[in-house]
Order: sequence, then structure tokens, then C-alpha cells
Amino acid sequence: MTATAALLLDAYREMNAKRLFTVVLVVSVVIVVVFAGVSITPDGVSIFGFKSVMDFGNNLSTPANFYKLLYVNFGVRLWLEWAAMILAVISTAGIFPDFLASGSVDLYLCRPISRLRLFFFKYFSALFFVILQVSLFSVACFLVIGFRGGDWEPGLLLAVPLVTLLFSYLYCVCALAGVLTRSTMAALLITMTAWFIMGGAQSAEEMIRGAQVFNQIQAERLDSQIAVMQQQLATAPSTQAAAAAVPAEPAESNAPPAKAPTGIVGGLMRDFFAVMPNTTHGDRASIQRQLQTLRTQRAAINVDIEQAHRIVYWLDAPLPKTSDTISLIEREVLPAAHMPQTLELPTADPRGFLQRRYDRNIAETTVNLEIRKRSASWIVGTSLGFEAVVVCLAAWVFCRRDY
Amino acid sequence: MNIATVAAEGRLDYNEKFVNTDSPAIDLRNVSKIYRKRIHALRDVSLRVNRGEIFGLLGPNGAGKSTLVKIMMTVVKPTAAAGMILGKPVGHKPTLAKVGYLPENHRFPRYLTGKQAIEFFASLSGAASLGRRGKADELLETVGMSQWGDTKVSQYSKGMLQRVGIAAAMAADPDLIVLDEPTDGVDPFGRRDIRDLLLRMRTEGKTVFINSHLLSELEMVCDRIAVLVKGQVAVQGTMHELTSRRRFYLFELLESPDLPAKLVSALPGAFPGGVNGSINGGICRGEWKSVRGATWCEFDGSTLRVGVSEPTEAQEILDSIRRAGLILKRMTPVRPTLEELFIEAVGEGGKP
Repeated sequence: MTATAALLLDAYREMNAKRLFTVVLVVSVVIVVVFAGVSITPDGVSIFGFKSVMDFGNNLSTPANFYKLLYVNFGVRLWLEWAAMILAVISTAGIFPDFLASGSVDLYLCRPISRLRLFFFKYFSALFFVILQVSLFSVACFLVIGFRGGDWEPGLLLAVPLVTLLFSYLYCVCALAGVLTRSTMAALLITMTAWFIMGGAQSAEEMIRGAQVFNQIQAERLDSQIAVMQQQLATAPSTQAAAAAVPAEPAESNAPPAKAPTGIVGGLMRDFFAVMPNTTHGDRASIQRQLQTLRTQRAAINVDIEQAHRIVYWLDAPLPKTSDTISLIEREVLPAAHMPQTLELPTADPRGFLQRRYDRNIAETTVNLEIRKRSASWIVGTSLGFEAVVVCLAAWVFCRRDY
Repeated sequence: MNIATVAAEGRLDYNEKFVNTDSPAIDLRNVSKIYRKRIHALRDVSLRVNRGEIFGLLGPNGAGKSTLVKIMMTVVKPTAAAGMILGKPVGHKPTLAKVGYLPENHRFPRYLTGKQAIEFFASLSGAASLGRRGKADELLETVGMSQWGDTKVSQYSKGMLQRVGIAAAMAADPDLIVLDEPTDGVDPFGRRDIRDLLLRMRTEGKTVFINSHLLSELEMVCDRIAVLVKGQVAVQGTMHELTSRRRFYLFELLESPDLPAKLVSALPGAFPGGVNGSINGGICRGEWKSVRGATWCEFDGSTLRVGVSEPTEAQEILDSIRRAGLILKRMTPVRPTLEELFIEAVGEGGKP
């Protein structure tokens, strides 16, 4: 047996010796069995014969799509991306600290094998843990969807490289922390913190982008209101027409404050007041001025949000895109047509509440589509760039250090 | 000195039969290690270990022994180092395929059995797979662990771990075996087995480098030793070289009133100024003039100690004693223990 084969065999033995490896494997099997026991009926779903009435709308045109949706949302998003990932990080956090413990590392470093090679063997042995687990799960799901849904979708197997990629983003941090601290607990905590920061940065970027889109939609609505108002002023409309344009409502309780609050919250308050009628004295010109003031403020807010988004975007750019990487599976397996649909435009919404909800929904969908359009090479490339830097740093520390 | 002579002394001494001094197994020169730019662990250490000998490295805690061993095994990077190991520069990785190493307090992966550990680390050393399984069994038997080979190392005692560790160090059939505290935690039977194993390795032409605190253990097997004190080699040489200066013969004489006078006449020059006055003081020390090789002489009551190391020299003294009419009760060759050498080399200042 060569040294390479011996190290591979050792990686398998090490992994196999961990109880969590078995736990993850058993849970995966249970999930697949449950997955196989679920079927779609005209009224809803049936789990091992127990029926439940559910309305899935028109998203689930075929049983295959139903299974794919289950696979993506539960199998990948819930199990592989979160639960199994946490268990995998816990299982593998000790690999480097144990390896570097006094009396252990000596046994390896005294061999005719370069330190770099040893480092990368240990690194990839952790990834091997995930590859094996995800492969078993994905292949089983692939077979279930194939047999039960009649759709042999090879895209399901994308979970193997992509979930492994996601794990590798985390594990590079874990390896660096393990090499630096030689403590399993420290490596685990640092990895979890890094995961939180990666996910947080991504969520923050999406939220700010969502706010930006929402603000733009609101600005467009103000523009159209101003345009209507201008048209009415130009054509000297009747009181009824003005009332139709801006529904009458007592202004005492709803008028915007004399000194308008600033910032995003202020903008939202102004929006609230803006959709309220302001026709105490029927002065359309005054309403128009107020609308224009709101529009100006909205534009200023938009500049602020855009700037904030630009900062967060570039802060997030070099970080691993944990959620986006997993989304690539969804892109491949579920076409955009099966994405959650936007709400219907409200027909009767005199106070504008439903419209705001509708606008938020539009903004959310827009952002989701934007993210979906981001190139896979950007998502994976920037993430791998981060991983490469961190792994190189860990390898450098490992190779230079005295033990 | 032949093997029979040294065996009579209760130990095996330097055995040139197995030693090749032309091409040293280890030839370190000016090895230095400074930690964090201020802690001098090693200062210009130079060592030479001949092929086929058992070499012992001694030193108090913190002397730099482990650092030196780790530098040889590329576990620690030296600040400066020259010299060769098995004919290749220190740090040459491929050479390590011919070196077996047992680290101090080694920790095998807990999920491996003893046999798996031997096979795994032999594979890492690049040992050919052919017949290695059989060799693992053979090695386990050699170290007395054949019935525990399929047990996980996590269930081993310290002594069992040491035995398997030595087997793993021997697995790739190395030319040089470096053992750091090999008998640590091993019971007396195990120690004896390990000593026998080391001697057997020597007869097979292998070089053994031992780093140990157990001076009595080293004394029984080492051909040459070095004592490291505060990162520097204080003493280095064969056991014979190091002990010859302090070897002496002990003559126990039958007491008689005229014993001192007869002794003075028997050993002229041994007691300058005579011995009468000095006997009351307990010890008479003087420069030995009449017998070549003797450097000192002590007389205490009826006991005479003479600083000669060779039997031929002692024979001359014996002849003189007999000629003077003194009756010899017992004659014993005495050599200092390694512990005495060690303490002398380290001194009080060498304490950690």
C-alpha cells in the first residue's frame, strides 16, 4: 500500500470511528424513507397512506416537481444545508487539533512525506466525510424521485459537489482555527461564528437590496401620483375627480408631521401618511408639493440605501456565498416557473396597506430573481477564492510551525 | 576489552564488531535552535553516532534532548544545522524512510488496532506492502504483543503502547531507530525485553539512538553516550572512554598493626610524606608514581583504592602488595556508574 492509499484508508477509518458519522447516516436513511413514503394526491399529500388535504396552487404540476420541491426545501435546505452541516462541522472540527496534538503529529511528520501533502490529506479527509454522506443521500433521493415521480433528474446529484463546497467554505476556517489554536472547541466556535458572519453578510446584502428595490417601487408610485396630480391641476378637474384621485379622509389624524422625519423609518412613515388622503382644504397644489417633497426624500433615501448596499455588497463579495451556493441546486432542479409567485395586485385597497404588501412581495421576488441570475462562476469563484486564501494560510502555518 | 571481560563486569560494553566508524549514521554539526528569538534550546550541538552502535542521549529536563531529536526527525526546524543523517543532510525527507522513530508520549490514532497502527505507519514510511501483514504479526510477537494485535490501541496500557510503538518504529526495516524514552511506563519484564530487542537490533547492524532519563537502562545497552546540558554537549564518548578516568581497583587487605608501613614500602611514591599521619585522617591521597597508568591512590583503614583501569596495571600493584607480605582479602575492579558520570557532567548548575 502506498502512503497515499494508507492516508485514504486512514481517513475512512477515522471517519467511520466517529459516532456522529453513523448518526448522520441513520438520519439520512430515515429522511429518504419518509421521502419515499410521501405521495401527491389530487387533494393534497399522503404520507404512508395518511392523507392530508393541502393546496399547492399550480406550482406542482407533476409529481416529479412535488418531489423535487420536497428535495430542495427539506432534503437540501433543511437537512443538508443546516442540520447535517452542523453535525459534519462538529464531527470534523477535531481532525486538525487531534492531528496536531503532541505525540501524534510527530508520528506523521517523521515520515518521508512533505508537510504540505499531509496537511491537504487531512483537509480532504474531512471533505470526504461530507462527500460520502451527501452522495448516499442524493443518490437515494435521485432513485426515489426517479421511481415515484418518473423523472430521472441528474441535477439532483449536484447536491454532492455543492453541499461539499458549502462545507469546504466552513471547513477551511475550521482548519485554520484548528492549526492556530490546536483546540477542538475553539475551532468549532470560530467556525460557527464565521458561518454566522458569512450568512449574515449575505442576508444583509439581500435585505438592503430588497429595501432598495422597494424604495424604487415606492418612488415610482409617487411619480405616478404626482403625474396624476399634475394632470388634474392642468385640466382644472372637478372636486369629484380630485377626490377620486386622492380619496377624501380627515387629515387631522393622518397628516404628516410639520417637520418630516428623515431616514428609512421616516420614509416609511411618510409613505404611510402619503397613502392617506390629505384633502382638508382640497388644495391639490399643496398635495402635489407634499408628494414632491416625499419624492425628493425618497430619492435621497435611495441614494443612502444604494450606498449602503454597495458597501455591504463589496464586503460580502470576498466572503463565501453559503446560501447562494446551495441555491444553485434549486436553479438546476426547479425552473423559475416553480418559484413562489407574487401576490395578486389588490383591487380594493383604499388605505394602501395591501399595496405596500404587494410592493414588498414584488421587491422580494425581484431580488430573488436577481440573485438567481447571478452567475454560478461568480458565486462559486469568489467563495473558492476565500477558501483558497484561508487554506493557504492554514497550510503555511502548519508547514512553518515547530511541534 | 573483549566481550567476555565486559560480560564479567555485568554489562555489554562498546562492541567494535558491529560498529562502522567510516560512515556515521548521525553526524550533526553546530545544531542550534532558538525559540521565539530568545530561548536558546540548543547551542552549536555536534554529535556523531556510528553505524551499528547504540547511542544514548542524556540530559536533565529542559536540556534540549527532545528538541535535538525532533530536529533530526524534521518535527522541529533548526535555527542552524549542518551535518548528515545516514549520509544525507539533516532535514532530507526521503532519508526518513530509513529511520524509525518512537516519539515520547506518542499517541496512535485511537481508532486503530495495534496491527493496523504498525501497518499504517509502515506504509507512511514507504515500506513495501508485500508481506507486511506477516511482518506486522512478526513484530507484534517480537515485542510480546501478538495476542493484542487486533485490539484497539485505545484499550492499551502505557507499557503496551510503548511496545507497539517500538514495533511501529521497526516496521519499515529502518537503518536507524530513534527512540525517545522507550521504556517509559514499561514494567521490568518489558524493559528487559526492550533491552534484548535493542541488542538484537545492534547485532543486525542497525543503529539505535536512545533518548532516556533511565540511566541504568542506558548503561546496560549503550555503546556511546552524550550528555546534553543547557543545550550544549557536556560529555560525549564511549562508555569506556568516559569511565576509564574514574575507574579504579579496590584492594581489601587483612588488617595488621604494620599495615601502613608495609604499604608505604610496597607502593613507594604512592603516599608522599608517608602515610602515618594521614591514616588517622581516614584518607591518604597522593600522586601515584611507581606504576604507569595510575593517577591517584586512596587508603582508608585496610582498604586501598588505586586509580588504574586496566587489569595489567592492577596486576603490578597486586604483585607489589604480595611482595610486601600483605595479605589480600579481595580485589575488585570498580567503575563509576552512568549516574555518577551524569551528575558529574551536569553538576549542580545543570539542574532544571
